[in-house]
Amino acid sequence: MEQQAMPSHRPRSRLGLPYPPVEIGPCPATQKHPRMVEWSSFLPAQVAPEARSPGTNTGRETPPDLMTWAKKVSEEIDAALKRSQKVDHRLAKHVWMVQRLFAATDVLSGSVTVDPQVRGGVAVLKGTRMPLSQILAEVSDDRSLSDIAEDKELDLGLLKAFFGAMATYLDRPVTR
Amino acid sequence: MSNFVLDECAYSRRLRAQCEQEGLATVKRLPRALAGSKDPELLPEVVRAGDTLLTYDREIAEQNASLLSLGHAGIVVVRSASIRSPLTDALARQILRKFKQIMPGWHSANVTNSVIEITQESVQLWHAEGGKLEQDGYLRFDRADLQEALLDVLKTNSSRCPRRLPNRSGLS
Repeated sequence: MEQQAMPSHRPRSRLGLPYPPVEIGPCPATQKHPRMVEWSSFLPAQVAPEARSPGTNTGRETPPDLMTWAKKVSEEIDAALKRSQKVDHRLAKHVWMVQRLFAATDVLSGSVTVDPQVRGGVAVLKGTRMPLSQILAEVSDDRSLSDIAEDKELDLGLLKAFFGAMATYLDRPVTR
Repeated sequence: MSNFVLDECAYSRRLRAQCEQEGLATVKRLPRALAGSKDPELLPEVVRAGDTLLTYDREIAEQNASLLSLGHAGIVVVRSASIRSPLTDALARQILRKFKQIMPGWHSANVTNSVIEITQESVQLWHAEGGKLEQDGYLRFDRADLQEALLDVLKTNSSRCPRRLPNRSGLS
């Protein structure tokens, strides 16, 4: 694979993956939707330019090119590991985080609704008028998820999915 | 006996059981067909059924005041007045219990056309007029003439709209 010139201060991929020296700015789509994830915030500075795909996503969906990029890099890392080759652990970690965040976002989008006409736009458990803020409040009041689900006649599986995805979603360090 | 329908956020089997035990009001869950419904879809159904809506949603009346201007059977909003304590079912039950102690005849009061917000320390009243909510009063629980003042506002509000509200029908 053809290697590209890298500035000295950037780590170089030992896999020889496309690793162009580009700074990734805030996603134009997320600027339109400031409440949504700023995908670039957890990416290494040298993410492939095709991953940026400005204007091709609404900010409410996983940027498709970024997902493709993460999948491709992940597969190459896996293949390299199988061949006992050295891998760029920094890149591998970031790719893993990207994929993890995508997975969490998928679950969140399947368990959360934000609609200005439902409970005034407060985030609610999908298919209900139950605000997630209230579920968190109930948990902080020492109630278990199963107790909440039973008492309020909610889908326990959906509640668990939301909490699991939030745990994954929030577990990401600041990129330096 | 008053008929209350609990919004999904306010629904709790324990609250319903507690109310049933007191035997002063009929309390039911929002029909499953209205689960996750939008506010402008929910309110007309509740109005049509002639039930008083009990909710934790502070915005529903204000954002949909135009739907309430033609008359409704009352909206009761339970809210936490504390900026540090979020509203939970336990707190809501506590707030309602306190309010019922202060207003023992609450179950028989006519809340037609009133939007009533109850917190740990006060009750606020509004009515919808011309697509907007108009405030009728802010009554602290330590006020000596609380009952008279509250009933006065409720009486005024219930006579505001000549439209006859239907008896309970659609919701069950």
